[in-house]
This record gives sequence, C-alpha cells and structure tokens, in this order.
Amino acid sequence: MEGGSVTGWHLVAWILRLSAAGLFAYAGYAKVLDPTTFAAELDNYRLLPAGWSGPLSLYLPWLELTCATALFVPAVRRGAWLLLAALGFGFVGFVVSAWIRGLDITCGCFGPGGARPIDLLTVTRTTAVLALGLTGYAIDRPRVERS
Amino acid sequence: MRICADVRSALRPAVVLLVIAAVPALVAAWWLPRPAGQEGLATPTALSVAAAQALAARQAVLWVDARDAAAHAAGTVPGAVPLRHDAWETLLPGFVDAWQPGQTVVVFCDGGGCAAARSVAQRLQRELGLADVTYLDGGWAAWKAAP
Repeated sequence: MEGGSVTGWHLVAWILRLSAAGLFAYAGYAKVLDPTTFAAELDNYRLLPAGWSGPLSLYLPWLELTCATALFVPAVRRGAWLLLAALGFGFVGFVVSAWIRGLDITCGCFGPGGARPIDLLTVTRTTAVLALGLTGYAIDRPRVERS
Repeated sequence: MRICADVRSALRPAVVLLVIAAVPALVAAWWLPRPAGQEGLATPTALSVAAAQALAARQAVLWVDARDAAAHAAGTVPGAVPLRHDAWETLLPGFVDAWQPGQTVVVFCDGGGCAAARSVAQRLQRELGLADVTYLDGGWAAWKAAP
C-alpha cells in the first residue's frame, strides 16, 4: 500500500472517530446528568422488563462516554467500534419499534429536553448513527504500511 | 468466517470497555438519587369497580380513559378524560386541565388484565409526579357489567 493511501485512510479514520466520539460523548453527557428522566424515557418504549430501565439509565450513558473516549485508544478501538455499532442496532430497534406502534413519546437519544415525538426524522437520524458505527467498524482498523 | 474472526478479535476489548463503563455507573448509582422517579411513588394499585364507585362517592375522582379514540367516543365513564400512549403529547393538556389537587386518578381501559391502564397510570406517576394514581380492575367491561 502506498504511503499516500495510508494517509488518506488515516484522514477518513480520524474523521469517523471524531464524528462518532463527538456524537456519543454529547449523547452520553446529556443523559448522565439526568438518569431519572432517561429511565422514564426508556420505560416509555414499553419494551424493557420491569426494573431494567433504572440500571440501564445509569449504565448506557457511561458506556457511550467510555466508547467515545476509547476511539482514541488504539488497544481498545476495535472494541469501541463494535460496541457503538451494537448500540446503534439497539437504538434503531427501539426507535423503529416505537414508530411502528405509533407511540407518542420522545426519543431520549440525546438526553431530556427533546420535546419532538419520534417520527421519520428520528428514525433516519438513528439509522445514520448506526451507519456511522458500522462504517467505523469496517474501515477504522489497523493497517500495515508496506514500503 | 473472516468476519466472525474479526468480530471475535474485537470482542475482548469490547468486554474490557463494558467493564470499565460499569465502574462510573456503579459510582453514580451510589451517589445519585434512585432513577426512574421511583422515590416516594408507589406502584399503581388495581381498584375494583365497587371500590372505585365507593371512592367516587366519598371524594373527587378523575377518570382517565386509556382506550382508543373510537372506543372513547362510543361510550365512557361520565367525566372521563382520554389519555393514551399513542397521543400522549396531544391529550396530556386536557388531562392537566381536568385534574385538581387532591383528586384520585383512576385509569381504565377495555378490560381484563388491560396493561394500557397500568402503564398509563405508571407514566402519570413518573412524568407528572402524581402519587394518587390507580387503575380499574376489569376496565370498561367490568364498569358496564356493574349494577
């Protein structure tokens, strides 16, 4: 592989990392400040067994923050991308399910304050987050530079 | 096969991140108030038709109809306000206008083990902080069948 290509991949990888890290750090930070509201928003989806929303509302924001940070740590970067892609699948599942069932609830994706009910825009945005996670996982991998 | 091996190689750092994220989450769980708005709020209890009628004879009761719009239009408990998940943001102002401090809220839906009434009651507790919320055991069917 030529040095120029490697530089190009590095640039793409850095853009992906910065985008995903910024997005998930913001989402995690917004939710970590108000787990009570986030738990209520999780409950509104009516998908989780009783008693799950409380622990999840405490854990998920920290997982997002941890993964956002880990994108800049080469030793665990692949794991971070894998988790972000998995979270993306989960978020899409929840949002699409609520949309199909016509639930008049807010997404809760970026913490409290989003008064907009789940609609096609929410589904599109969540799918874009999943696409970002999958693309990062597929592209941002260690590359061997050959001379 | 290559994809499986690729995911397997990312699993170990992913597990490490899952564990790391649990640490601040546990600390937050220790320091923060209990999530899900459960503090000071009881789980909504079921009320039989006879008990609900006796309650309504003693004090002000606000009936909440959690059934769909067609069922509500076809017939409901006198004075009941509609409120359901698929039109929550739209119907909530009507509920807030009707509710008076000190009233017991009784949510009902079609009948049997109607989960909608229970979940609407729980949502009222969570989102509005109402403590005195209950739901009608047997729902509308039991109400109609009552003498």
